[in-house]
This record gives sequence, structure tokens and C-alpha cells, in this order.
Amino acid sequence: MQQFDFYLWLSGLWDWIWGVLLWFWGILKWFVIWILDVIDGIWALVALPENFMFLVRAILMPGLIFVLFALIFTVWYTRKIWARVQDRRGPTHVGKYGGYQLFADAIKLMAKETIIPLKAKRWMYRILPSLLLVIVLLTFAFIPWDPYWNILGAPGSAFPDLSVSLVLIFALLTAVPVFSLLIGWVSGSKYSLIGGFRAANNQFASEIPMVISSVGPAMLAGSLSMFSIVAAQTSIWYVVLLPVNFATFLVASIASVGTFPFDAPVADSEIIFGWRTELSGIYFTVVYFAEFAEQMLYSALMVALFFGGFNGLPFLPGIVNFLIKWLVIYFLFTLVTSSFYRLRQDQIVHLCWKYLLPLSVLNVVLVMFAVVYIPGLLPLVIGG
Amino acid sequence: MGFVGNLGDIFRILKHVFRQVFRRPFTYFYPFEDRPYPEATRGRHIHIREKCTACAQCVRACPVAAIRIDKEDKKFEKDCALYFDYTRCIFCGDCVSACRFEALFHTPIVDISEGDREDLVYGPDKITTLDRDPLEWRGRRFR
Repeated sequence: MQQFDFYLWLSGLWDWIWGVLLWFWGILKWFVIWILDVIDGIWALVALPENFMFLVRAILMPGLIFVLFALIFTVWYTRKIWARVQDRRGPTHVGKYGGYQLFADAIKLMAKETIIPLKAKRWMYRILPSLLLVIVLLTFAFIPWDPYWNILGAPGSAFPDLSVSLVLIFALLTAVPVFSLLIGWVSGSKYSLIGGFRAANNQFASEIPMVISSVGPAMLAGSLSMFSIVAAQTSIWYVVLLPVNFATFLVASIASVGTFPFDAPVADSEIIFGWRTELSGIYFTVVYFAEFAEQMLYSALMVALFFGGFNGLPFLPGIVNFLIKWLVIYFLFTLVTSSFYRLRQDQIVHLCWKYLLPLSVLNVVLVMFAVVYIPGLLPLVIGG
Repeated sequence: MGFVGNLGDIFRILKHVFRQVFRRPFTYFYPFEDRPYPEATRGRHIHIREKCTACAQCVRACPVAAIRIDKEDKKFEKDCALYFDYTRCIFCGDCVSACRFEALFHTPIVDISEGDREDLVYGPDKITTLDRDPLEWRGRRFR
């Protein structure tokens, strides 16, 4: 009987090791080939002209980069208007007319230490501020900037406009106070919790009037798509027919953002900084940007719903028309926010539900009667 | 009043604020642009050495001993050098009223902050003149 030959076994070991190495190499090669195939597939998708242009539009022009630059400009613009209302000068020193002040502030804030409170739920606390910014920036995809050059809904592109983009914008924006409430909750501080509940209260008060106000344009255009609503305003801007709706939308959107007359969620003299009390460093920066992005978004919505969006001076590109109106509406927005003192919680609900809601419904009903009984108005309204 | 009255108030407020935006800011552009001070402002001093007689009455009058006199440093017939220590000076004006030869005055310049404590001791070269380097900001020269 053959004995166990140790040396023979030892010489076979090299074969075995070599086999294992080959096996690992096979796995590695397979993995690399798989990754390259995936990249190839993505490139093949991207290289299609309509997909490539969609990416350019989504990332560059009316998309992310443009919105971020607009955000930077908006912070400067707001600070200047606030300063002028208060007889000050605003930022002057960094850059021309203080244009780079925001970069200085952002660098300062990012360089600060991020303090996470002991009672905070760390994982949620880290992720929620960025989610807030993301969800606010996401809604910019549905704004019709231009007859052609917008993210969704360019004619002939692979990504058509959604038929319910107006509803979708409101659906996404409803999540904002949820994030405020969650941030207030996970911060583990009583001030932030009170602020979070106040933010929820603001949204509770302001959302119904805002949606009802936007029913007017949607009804006149006969569509819930932002693009169709804007395209229907070639003959007449809806602010002419629905001025009260515009006013109620403005007030309700300010209440929804939670800036000045309705800044109970972040009332600095009562609850330290509301639901943002415990945020520091980069988290505070992100939330600060999200607030301004929300103001920008509501101004853009007002332009699209009531001021004819890209319709305007015919010799200008549509996006330039939109931006001009956007600046004006944003100025109006900031003017209203800088003029009034803070309302109490019950006063906010009182105002929104007892005044804004009936007024917006009243204007919609009046316009319905006008469209029915004034001959020749209907073709103007639906865009002729 | 009631609803319509409140609405009128709101629009009056908005009108006022709208006008406010296009008005000139009330604040001065401070380090580069200074507010006009009245003539009698007790700011930093100026020492006119032509009229000084080295009588040292200003040094005697100073309640906080902020003035040091150097009688050896003569530029004219009987003048002296004065060293004003603005870390001590309380701008009471006693030295100016003690001077009977009209050689010491206050000026309306009040922004005399410096980076070093030693720079706040105004020697004869700084106290006898109002000249200083003009501030420059984006090509514009101020003061």
C-alpha cells in the first residue's frame, strides 16, 4: 500500500496555488471587463444626441450649474435689497460691490467645526440637511425656462414634460417642512424641536392657499403641466385675470418658505434659531442655501404661473425674458419679506385660512364667470 | 377699518419700503468716507511749533500725564517737541485751553486707531501735521 508521500503532495501544492491565483485573476478580469462594459453602455447612451443634450441641459444651462450660480447671485441680491431697505449698504468689500461676499462666508462656514450635539441622532443629523437641499433643487427640473432650452419638455427630446409637473412640484415641496421637523427632532434640543413643529404649522397653514391659488392658472390653461400653462399665456398673462391669486400665492409662498413675516420657525428672539439651532458649519451652509433656493423656486413658479414665463419681448430669447421677470418678482418677494414684523403661530393660520383661502377661491370663481360670459375672452386665455 | 383698512396699511408700508430701496444709504462708507464732524470736535491735537514757547503749561494742565515735553528738540527760536500719548489722552481739552500762545489745537480727526501701542504716541513729526497716507480702494483715493 502506497504510503502518503509528503514530498509528492508538496510538489502538487504549487499547482494548487497557481490555480488559486488564476482563479483570482479570472475574478479580477471579469470584474474589470464588467465595469468597462457598463462604462461603454453609459457612453453609448450618452453619445446619443438627444441624451447628450439632455445631460448638457440638466447639468449646465438651466440645470444644476446655472441654478447654483443663480443661488449665489440671489444671496447677494437679497442682502443688498435688505440693506437698502434698512438704509445700509450691504456687502461692499469682497469683490466688486461685495459680489464675492458669499464665497467668503461659505469658506468661513465650511471651515468651522461641525458640532454634533450629544443627544442628536448622528446619522440622520448628518444626512438630513443635504437631503433638504437636494429636494429643493430637484424641483427646478420642472421649471419651464425657455420654449426649447429647458430640462424636461424640450420639443423633440427624449424626456418630455410631465403632464402633472405642477402637482409634482408641490408634492416635492411638501417634504421640506417634513425635513425641517425631522432636523428639529433629531437635533435633540427643545428649541429646534419647537422650531420644527412651527415649520410644520407654517406649511399646514400655507399649503392649501398656495395650491388653490395655483389652481387658477392651471384651470385657465386647462393643464397641470408647467410648460403648457406657460405656453397658454401668449396672449394674456394670468396676473391680469388673477391678481388676487397672485397676491395670495405670494403671501402663501412666503409663509411656506418661512422668511420674515412668517419666520416663526426660526424666530431668533424667541427660540434661538428654531429648527436650525444646532446646525453648524457645513450643515448650516446647506440649509441656508436651501432656504434661498426655495425662495428662488417660488419666484420662478410665480413667473411661470402668473407672468407668462418665457413669453415677453419677442426679440429676446425666452430664458432672458424669464430671467428678467424672475429678478423683478424676486425683488417683490424680498420687498414683502423685508417690510413686516413677525406673526404669531395662530395669526399665521388665521391669515392663511380665513383670508387667503377665500380670496383665492373667489378670484377663481370670478374668472370662471368672466370666461363664460365675456365673449372673446376664452381664446385669449387658452393661448389662441 | 377692518379688512380693507388693513389692506390699505399693507400697501402704504410696501410703498414706503419700495421708495426706501432707491434712496441713498444712510450709512457712511466708513474707513474710506468719513462723516463731517463739527469744528469744535475734540479729536487728535495739532501742535504749531512756530508759535510754541516751551512754557509747558499744557503738560501741567494734563490730568492724565499724556503729554511729554522735550525742550532740547528745537526747530525754531524757543519751541519744543511734544509727545502725545493717545493711549492715555482723554480728550478733555485742558491742554488746549491752557495754551496761551495759540500753538495747540484739537482737530476734528477722531479715528486714530493703530496696530501697535507705540504708534499711538504721536511724536513731533506726527503731531505737527495733518498729513497721512490717503486710503486707496479700487483706484479711488479717499481723504
